[in-house]
Amino acid sequence: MHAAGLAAPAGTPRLPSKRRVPVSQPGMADPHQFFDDTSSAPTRGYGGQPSPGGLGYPSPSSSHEAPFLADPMSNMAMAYGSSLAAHGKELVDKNIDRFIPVTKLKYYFAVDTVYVGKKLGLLVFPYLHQDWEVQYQQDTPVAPRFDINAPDLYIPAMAFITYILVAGLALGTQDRFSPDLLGLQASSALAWLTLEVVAILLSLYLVTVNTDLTTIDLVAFLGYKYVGMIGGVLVGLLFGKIGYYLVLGWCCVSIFVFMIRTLRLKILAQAAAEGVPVRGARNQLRMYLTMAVAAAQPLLMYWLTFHLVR
Amino acid sequence: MAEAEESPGEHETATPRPLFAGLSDISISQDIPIEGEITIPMSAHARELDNSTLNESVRHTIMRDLKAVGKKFMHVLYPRKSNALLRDWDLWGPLILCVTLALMLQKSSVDGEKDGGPQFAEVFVVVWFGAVTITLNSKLLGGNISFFQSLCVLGYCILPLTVAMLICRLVLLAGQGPINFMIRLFVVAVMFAWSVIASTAFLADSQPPNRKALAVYPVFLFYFVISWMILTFTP
Repeated sequence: MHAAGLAAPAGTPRLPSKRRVPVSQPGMADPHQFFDDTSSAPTRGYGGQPSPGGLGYPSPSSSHEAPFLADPMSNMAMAYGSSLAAHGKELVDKNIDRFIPVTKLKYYFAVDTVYVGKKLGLLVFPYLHQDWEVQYQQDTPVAPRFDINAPDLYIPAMAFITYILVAGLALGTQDRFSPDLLGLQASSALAWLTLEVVAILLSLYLVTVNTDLTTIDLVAFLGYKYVGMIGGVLVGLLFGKIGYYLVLGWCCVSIFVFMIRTLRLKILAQAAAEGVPVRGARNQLRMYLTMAVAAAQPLLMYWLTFHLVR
Repeated sequence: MAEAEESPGEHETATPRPLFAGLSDISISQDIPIEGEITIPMSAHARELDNSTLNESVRHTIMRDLKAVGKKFMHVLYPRKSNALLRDWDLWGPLILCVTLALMLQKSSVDGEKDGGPQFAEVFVVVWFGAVTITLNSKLLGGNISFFQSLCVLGYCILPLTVAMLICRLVLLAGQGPINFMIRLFVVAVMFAWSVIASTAFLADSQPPNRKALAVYPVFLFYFVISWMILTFTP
């Protein structure tokens, strides 16, 4: 047998089996320099950002000169620690992304001031707007910044928070305020919102509508009514019950029309959405569902605000 | 194995050959013991200045942190376009301010808890959850500011409102009345505007220009809530 592994072919270097003499500690002060010390001036370390892993250079925050290698063991430990931190961070990110789809959320916050202004105007006066279809770009809907019909989460979130604060304000003017009431208002409004979302999702499932209406879309649409509620309560604070009823009535009708026109495109079949009346039990059921969702909005608007204006 | 063979590289050839031509002939068939000492040139002075601040006195540490906090207070009071607040963020200042504000806002009455004044914990929760919400909103809108930097800026910009609280407390010592209320309203309004402008100067830079107003609106709400709590405080 050809002993292939026995003898290394001639000409290749053999691994040295002799132990090298261990290197002495580098910490000793030695004036005998073997090379030029080209360590650059230290950069002020950013306190808040994670240290760049892998290099292992110390980032001194208080020393005035950077030793080239202060202590190799602590450098290794630092490099290892920072690589551990980076690994842990991406693990946490991956797990968070499983529960809260952060990238999807970012789509709903891709807004700008012009969009917000136009959308608020649309929520209060939707009667003149013609084209309610969301534009698509290669199978994905465009960001809200580019199309006013796209739903966003900035307005509902801000409207919700503003509603809670305005509710606190209103209760304060009636001398019924205490800070835990704010928490109560917040949780009850949130509970109603969750109930709505669950009820609509359930009915969509029962009616077997295959629509591209995602849960977050639904939350966004249902959150638009808070804008009207805020308007109503603010006017009610300034001008009393008459002002409250007027503004709330107007906003209720507007949000009803808005929801019908928006949901019609999402829930109803394509043909019916274009205005052609299609007979059939299925489409009728869908039509009733849309009307029910839209009619629930004014009811909830009144329910959540009437106790604030006395 | 212990033989030391002279490395072929030591044989300098005198014949003119192209550079590195002889490298292909080099075959190191035996160990070349390499020994020696590698020392990093370092002065003894630099050795003491390495990272650990464990050896310094407690007073020195506290003074250093207090000085950093004080420097940032100055940045808030005279808002210029500087990066000091963002670059060396710390949360000591916001903590001190929040605790001071909560202590002063606490209702000092023992009769009945439903009197409407906020408890210590409520102020704390409002401030910190408000700051976290604003930071989340700013990050989702696409700003390039880190979480803790934003918390730091928002916390430090409560300073004018804390000053307003002090002034209100002093003014209230003179008894209550409509003139009293007008003075307090004026002071709180000015400090509220100052807070909003100071924090806008830092936070708005992190957003593109078509979204600045969107990021500033929740900041406005946040300081409005705190101002409202200050204004409606009665001892």
